[in-house]
Amino acid sequence: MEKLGIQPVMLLMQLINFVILVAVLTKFLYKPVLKLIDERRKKIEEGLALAEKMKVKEEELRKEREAVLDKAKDEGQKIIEEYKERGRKVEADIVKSANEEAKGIKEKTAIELEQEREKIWQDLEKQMLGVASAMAKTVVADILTDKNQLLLIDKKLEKLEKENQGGSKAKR
Amino acid sequence: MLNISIQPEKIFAIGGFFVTNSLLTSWLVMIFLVMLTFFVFAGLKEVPGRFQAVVEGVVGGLYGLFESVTGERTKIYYPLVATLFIFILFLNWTEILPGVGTIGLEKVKDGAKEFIPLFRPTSADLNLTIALALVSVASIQFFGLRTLGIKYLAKFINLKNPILFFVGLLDIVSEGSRIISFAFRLFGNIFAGDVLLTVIAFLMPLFAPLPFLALELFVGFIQALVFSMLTAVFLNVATSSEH
Repeated sequence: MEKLGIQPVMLLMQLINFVILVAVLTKFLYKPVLKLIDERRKKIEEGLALAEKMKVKEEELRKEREAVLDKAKDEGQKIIEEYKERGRKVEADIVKSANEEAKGIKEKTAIELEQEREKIWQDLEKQMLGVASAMAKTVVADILTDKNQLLLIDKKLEKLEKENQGGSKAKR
Repeated sequence: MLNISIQPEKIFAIGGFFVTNSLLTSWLVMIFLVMLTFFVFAGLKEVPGRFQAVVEGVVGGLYGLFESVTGERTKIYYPLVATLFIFILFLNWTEILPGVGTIGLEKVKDGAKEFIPLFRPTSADLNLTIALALVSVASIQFFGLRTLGIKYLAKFINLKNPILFFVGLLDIVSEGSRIISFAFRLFGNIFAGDVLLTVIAFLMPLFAPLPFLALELFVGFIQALVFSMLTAVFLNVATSSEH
């Protein structure tokens, strides 16, 4: 023992040294540093989890937004279609009513025209008759007496009138 | 001229108590470690600087290393095994430092001049290695008893049958021999390294010691690791109840 240099006092001293070192290092190195590492790891884990959550949420939001957009687009399209359809209908209605109106006007105009023509014809006949009687008066006055003259004229006129009426009807 | 001594030399006395050169070295290493610890402790920040990152790497790395051996219970053993590793590592590496083993006093003893170095790698002193071995083995017994209770003692004293009784006796011897194997493994390696460095430096002081310095750096690390890892393994064995 003596030759190896083993001395109980020295041994004890080294033992105490070591115990002191264990105590100091534990209190001021291991515990705080390990605690710090653990806390930081926890924080990082939490941060990563949060980031992951945010990612998922963002994805959700994106999908939601897209869905809303799609829906809005669809609805817009629908509204446009609806109004187009309605427009077409209105257009058709307008065209139809315009056609009908035009037709009505045409018919009415035709009827009016016909009436006008009838009237003109009657006027013309009357005038013709007047002119004829006046001509006959002037031409025949010299030949016939007033009495005969009148009788003849009346007869002739009646005859003419009859003929004319028949003739105008046949003409139509 | 060449100074090789198995025992540490006394260099001065404080009130009848002799301080040896190895004790002085271990004090210096302790002061260094404690100051480093306080320096780190005072500057601990949530966001680590470069130095703190290194310290965290060492402390956390050691934790992971011992966790691979002792698992869940690392929390309990960590201060012991980590301090064993760090303390032994720095003590071992003192032999690399210039001045350790070369700075010293000339003393006349028995009419002959004798050189007494001021510093000596403390791991090359049996007092330290035996003290650490005692701590290690004692804590193995302590944790074994605390975890398993009376069942731990049943491993050593078993009266159920003669074979188990004899195995128990062997276990007692093996626990005792662990002190010696712990102590002399560390002492032998570091003392041999110290002698090797002294001899090489004596033969050819300039470039020749370089590879041996590197070698001793490696040996010092390995011995620190072996000491602390073996302690961890024995702790694990002593506290698991497979018997």
